[in-house]
Amino acid sequence: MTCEEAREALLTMDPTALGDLPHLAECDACRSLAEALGARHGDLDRALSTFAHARPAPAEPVQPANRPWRWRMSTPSALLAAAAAATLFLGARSAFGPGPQRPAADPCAQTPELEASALAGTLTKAEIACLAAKGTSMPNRMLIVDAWERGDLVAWREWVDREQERSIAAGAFDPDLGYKLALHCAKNEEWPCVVESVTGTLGRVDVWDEKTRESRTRSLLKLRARAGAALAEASDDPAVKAQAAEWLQAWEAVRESE
Amino acid sequence: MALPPPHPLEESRPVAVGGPGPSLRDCDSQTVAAAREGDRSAVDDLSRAVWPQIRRIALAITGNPVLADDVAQDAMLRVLRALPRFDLSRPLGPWVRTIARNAARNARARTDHPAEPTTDVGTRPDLERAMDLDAAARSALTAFSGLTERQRELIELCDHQGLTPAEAAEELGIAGGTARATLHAARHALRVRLLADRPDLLDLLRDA
Repeated sequence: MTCEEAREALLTMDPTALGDLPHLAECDACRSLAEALGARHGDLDRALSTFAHARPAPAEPVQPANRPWRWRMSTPSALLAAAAAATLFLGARSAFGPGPQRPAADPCAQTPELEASALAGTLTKAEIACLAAKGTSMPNRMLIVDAWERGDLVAWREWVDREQERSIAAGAFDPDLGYKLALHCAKNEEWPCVVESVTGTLGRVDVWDEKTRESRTRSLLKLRARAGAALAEASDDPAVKAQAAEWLQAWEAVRESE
Repeated sequence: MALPPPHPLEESRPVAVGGPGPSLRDCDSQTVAAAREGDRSAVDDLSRAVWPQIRRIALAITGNPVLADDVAQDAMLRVLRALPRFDLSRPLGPWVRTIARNAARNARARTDHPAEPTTDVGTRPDLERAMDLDAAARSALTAFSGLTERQRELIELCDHQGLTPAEAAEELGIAGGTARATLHAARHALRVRLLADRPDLLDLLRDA
């Protein structure tokens, strides 16, 4: 084997076999190259392993931002009811039962275990407080799941609202959550909530594949038309009625095109 | 209950994930079945085994430790939720990696994250502290992050998880020849990047 052949092989061979080329025994330069590559692969393996076993990082605080999609008629703190949306959002109830107490020193340290606890609705007060202090997406979602599993609808509502605020502030409104909230609120005839959720979700339909986007957009427009009609009926404000008419027209256009 | 034979891949291949806790190989179908029945200890064992796998795939897909950190948490929750639907006759590794892969891609789509990779772990100081990387490891991670998503995935699956190119191709839904060619190019690109601070050695490679 020539140096040229050896170096070509060293560039592309299995990293665990870098030292196996017979040519290395007779060529100092190629051996140096192989040793350097082996060492750098070791550095990479160490970095990836360190990352793989790292605990999730606490989040930086997120400043609440204006909710650009919030419709002016909405009354946020009173309109997002608890209940079925958690099931829609996060799936069926978990079969996981309560487990042993975890160490209290760092209540947020064991994320996989925390997630299992959240699915079982058995987060402790310390764990809830710790997750609440993080304020990022997954802690919020764990709190939402946990509150729902415990049947604590007041807490559930608080975490849903918080997650919505966070995702909007981060410029990453979750359309799946928005869509499911819209369905839930429509079932409960909470029309301002429907309008909020639909409006936010319609701005993010691009993340769905074509088939999903098509069917969900249709549903969202239908829900918005229903909400608009209900709100217009209860209001004397011409602007509200005009808005409702516009939404109804948008929905009818979709229906007629089918 | 008779257990199905272990998947050859998970039985015989080393999983190059270091650190504490059980590996996926330690998570037999009995553990998974017990976890599905709500056995807390089994859930904990499963979670500890799955967690590093998920994080590595999340990092390979995103190329960004900060985004991968969030993705891993999302994927972990998805795994636990989907556990009742897991086919016990199938190997756990590909199933977990598929969930992590989907979570990573969905997260990137949702956040409109730029495609350009970054290892700027300093944007989240706590993560930097948690990783506690020395300069060499940090530099190697930067080199890895500079590859394309497909290259990172193939390096992770073949050079770190121990899959053959054909197995990786099947898992990724691509042709075997494509996987081999991409892996070849990925190793070449990675090694040139890994030696960026060694111009003397790079010169040797240029001669090749």
